[in-house]
Amino acid sequence: MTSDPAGATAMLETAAARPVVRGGGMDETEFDEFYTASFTRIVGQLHAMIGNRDEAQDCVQEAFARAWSHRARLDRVGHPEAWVRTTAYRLAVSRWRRTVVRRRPADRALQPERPVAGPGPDRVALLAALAELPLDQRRALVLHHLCDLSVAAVAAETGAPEGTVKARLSRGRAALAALLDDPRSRPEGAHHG
Amino acid sequence: MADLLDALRTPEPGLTLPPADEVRRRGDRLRRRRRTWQVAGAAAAVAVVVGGGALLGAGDTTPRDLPVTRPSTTPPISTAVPSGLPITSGWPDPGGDGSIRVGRTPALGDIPYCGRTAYPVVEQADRLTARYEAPAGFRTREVTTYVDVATARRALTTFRTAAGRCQGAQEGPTATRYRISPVPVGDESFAVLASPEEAKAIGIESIVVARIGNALMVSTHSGEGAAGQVEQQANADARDLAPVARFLSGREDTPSSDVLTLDGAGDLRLGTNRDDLVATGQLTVVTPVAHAACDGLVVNRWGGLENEVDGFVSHRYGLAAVFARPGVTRTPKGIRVGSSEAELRAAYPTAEDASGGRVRLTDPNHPGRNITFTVEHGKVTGFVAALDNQDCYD
Repeated sequence: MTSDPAGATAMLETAAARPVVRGGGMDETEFDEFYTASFTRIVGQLHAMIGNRDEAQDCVQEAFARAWSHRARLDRVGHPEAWVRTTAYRLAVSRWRRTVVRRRPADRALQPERPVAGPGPDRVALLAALAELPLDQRRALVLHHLCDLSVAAVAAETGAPEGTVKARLSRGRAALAALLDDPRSRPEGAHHG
Repeated sequence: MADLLDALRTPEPGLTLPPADEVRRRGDRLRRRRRTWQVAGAAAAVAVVVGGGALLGAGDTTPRDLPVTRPSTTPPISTAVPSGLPITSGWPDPGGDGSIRVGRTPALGDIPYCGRTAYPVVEQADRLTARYEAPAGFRTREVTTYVDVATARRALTTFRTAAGRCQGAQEGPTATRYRISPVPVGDESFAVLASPEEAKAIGIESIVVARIGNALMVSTHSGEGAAGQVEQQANADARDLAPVARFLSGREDTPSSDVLTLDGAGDLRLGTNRDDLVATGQLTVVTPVAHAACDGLVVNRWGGLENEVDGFVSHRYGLAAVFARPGVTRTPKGIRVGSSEAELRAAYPTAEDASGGRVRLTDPNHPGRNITFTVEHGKVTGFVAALDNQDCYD
């Protein structure tokens, strides 16, 4: 492929260029296990990144559907959860998607909205504070502190240099701590990195 | 500080897991769409040639009976949107997960500003639409015609008035600011620039509205840019629309680079090997088929395709075939998908009838190549420039 506007399929496309390996890819059982084990976790991570749970759920569903459509090469990517998360994130942040949703019926919703139980106060406060941060800082914080990725892995997933990731983490932590009235508001170096 | 987000580690309350089989079914649909041409194999390759209207949505290919236009002060055009209109002109490749659809069903729906509908308000005579979806951008174009120039002017004025009176709107958590900006395309035009009030927010939309005689073009473009980029985006869109406007006004044909000849399409010359083709950056090799003799390709400047290809690269013979893209390509003598058989015969009197209702054009000065037209019900429905010995389809 010469271009991929989202870059979200880059890993799969790279894999596509390799010789076909007999028996590669996820079968139905493996995919279902992967989906069941990681769906809720990824929705939570994406919710923290974009601040909208319904949108997060919708985008993660769509990302899993795309993952299944690429299943023949999915296991060779090595990090299917990262692929789903990246794809879902890019779907979610695109304004065009909101435009599409506004201008057409929700024809690809896999299930209707259901009433949900309310989240706890800590979660609400944290999500509200995260929503105040610039998107890039928010994403870096979630990937590093919630997805437990190293700085290098965050850099790889976001396509930003490691130095940029460290800066986003430092500023993001400081801002988030201040918003939560956390005394630990002084900028500091990146963890795990 | 590492425990800062620990409150989010517990599962989302009330979150239900959609059934895995539903997700897989949607994935299968995506996969089928992506693989249609591949699965169908050689038969599909011919279908791509035959199905010039395959880009059009189901039921979209039948021309309507339309009233004849009244004389107008600007270059006269019919109320029927002309065949071969390059409506997707300038659109980039949407990538593997994206798509471009062309048809006659509305692509935009209502466009309101501050609760007031700006478009469509005035009754339309005919319409051609295009829809571009990709993870990083969403675009639509609608070309509509009206019974006369005055009606088209009224449609444009209604749009501009509604947009101009609305300074902004709140869309969920995002406050959007609207403003009108001039853009140079068509007989009269403007752009509506929508951008977030919040400096940190991303997401812009530009809508270019242009009138050409009794036709109105409405082009929308939503992307992930910042507020400072929206005017630049609108200007770029206006430039991309110029070929459509010129075509509508009858002042200019499609660019010469979109001419399909016995040599191929511009720099994409039949017989060129795959590596040299890829090095031109002008095409995208799509969904290589394991063990197949050929790969599919999409010509980048013609825009992306969802389930089809623009041609094949033979592993043995190089560029083996380039199909005409409806609305984009023509022959040197102006034959397009949609031209009449009479026009084809007049342009190429030496072309010979071939099997399956096809008409085959050869030239002793271009040995080993041919252009084969598929004619159905008196219309050219597709054509392909190909090597005589291509090994990609029957």
